[in-house]
Amino acid sequence: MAAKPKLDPDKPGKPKPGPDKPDKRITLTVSTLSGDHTDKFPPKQQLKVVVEKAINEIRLEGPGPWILEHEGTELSQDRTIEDAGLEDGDVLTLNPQDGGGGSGR
Amino acid sequence: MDPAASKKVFDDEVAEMRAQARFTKVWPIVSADYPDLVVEFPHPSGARRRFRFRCDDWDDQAPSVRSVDAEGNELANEPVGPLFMGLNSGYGLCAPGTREYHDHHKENPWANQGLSLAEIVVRAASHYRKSSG
Repeated sequence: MAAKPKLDPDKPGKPKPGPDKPDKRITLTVSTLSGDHTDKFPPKQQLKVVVEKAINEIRLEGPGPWILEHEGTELSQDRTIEDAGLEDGDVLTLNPQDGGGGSGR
Repeated sequence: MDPAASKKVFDDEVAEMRAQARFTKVWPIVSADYPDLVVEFPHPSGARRRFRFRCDDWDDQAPSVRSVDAEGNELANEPVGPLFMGLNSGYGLCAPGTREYHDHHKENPWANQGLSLAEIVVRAASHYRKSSG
């Protein structure tokens, strides 16, 4: 009879990653003007969840919309982490959409 | 503003910026010797470009924002983009928070903005992202 896998206290009901099941979660840092938030996420997590978690943890205020960028490219928050090509340790920036300027002259 | 007081405000704000991951890994601060802050921005094309924020008389006056090369020389008429254009005081970014904008748009003075240096850098990075690179 196979031994039952240990449960991960961070993920109730899910087996804890062990030597035969490495932690494939990706560490991302969301950097805002109000501070940074670093967390681990599954590769198939949608970026909107990453953003929501950062907003809640940093307690960002403002109506948004919030623009998420990686290396100068705006990321659709409907994409997943792996679809966006993000890698472990990446830093994302999160900023409110600004109003522009333009001389109009 | 007294230059020593201006330098103090500049140094304090740069110290706060250095504590944020974005200014070490995404938009690295290349140098910060008062009155000049030089930051490198990535572009969706893969290009990277340095911008100098000249902060003399900070924060009584908005910084002059110019694209510079690796030696710190101004790059005339660069980059090309929706809000990068010729203004009264030369080629620059026509967006609130830059000296070039407020010199041009007297109806929207710098004194009304209340922007930090970090916020101005963020805005410049956003406008650069929409430029030709």
